[in-house]
Amino acid sequence: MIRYIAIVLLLASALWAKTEYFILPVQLKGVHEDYAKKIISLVKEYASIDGYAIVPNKKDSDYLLQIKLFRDDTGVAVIFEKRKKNDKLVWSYGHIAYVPNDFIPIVSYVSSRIK
Amino acid sequence: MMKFFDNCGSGMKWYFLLIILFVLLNACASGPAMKVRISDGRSDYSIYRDGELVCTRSDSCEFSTPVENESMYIQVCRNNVIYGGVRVYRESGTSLPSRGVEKWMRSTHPSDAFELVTGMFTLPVFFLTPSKIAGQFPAEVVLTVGPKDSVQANFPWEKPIQ
Repeated sequence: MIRYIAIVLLLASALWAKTEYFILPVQLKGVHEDYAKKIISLVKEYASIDGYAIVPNKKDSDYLLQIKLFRDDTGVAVIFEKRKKNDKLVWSYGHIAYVPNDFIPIVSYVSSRIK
Repeated sequence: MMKFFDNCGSGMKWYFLLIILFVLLNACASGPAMKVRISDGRSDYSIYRDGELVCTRSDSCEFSTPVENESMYIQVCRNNVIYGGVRVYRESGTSLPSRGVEKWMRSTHPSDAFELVTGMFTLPVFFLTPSKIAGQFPAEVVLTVGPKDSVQANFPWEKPIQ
């Protein structure tokens, strides 16, 4: 009986467990590192809203999150890549941002997709 | 062509006729063409319609519109980065002419003894009907891409946040 309860609890904990992400260092081209900090803080904010976790250690994570901010002739290309720990790409999304406030809808969309 | 058909067996003839009919029906099932232009005039964008790639270049993008959808989402991408998008709706007051056949089909009672025969003749015509939704998509759409004003255009991304 105790064995069955333990199995049920184990399955239940697996269902309730949050997906855990480790954010890799943001890749920047022509963009000041302040914007990397800004986008990471936004991701952390949305993670708490959407119910997934950002962990400080790579070994504790389920997936890696690579963010790229590349200067374009019109704005900044914001690229999100969800990767497995073996670096295999799972999902990616890129959107142009003309001003830093454009990060908000981009992070909101990405967060809803990776939660 | 006729010589080719003469050389084919009877079964093959029907097979080719069915293929031709299928191709014709599919061609007619698409709506009128729509042109997409990008406001900044660049040609290196890819255009997607409801997530499906329809043009690999943006300087001469023209594609057929869907028959059944009330709207479609047009998206502009370059190097897998989205630069803009717009939902395009059918314009009111551009209703396609109603088809007498559809009206006739509705009035046909299911218990009609000729149901099967009428079905055989009306089904292809029914598929040819361009749209049951009122209005047509605009013939041309210009997508605005790029910064809205000079403040956005000259944003100092390389400098620290003030």
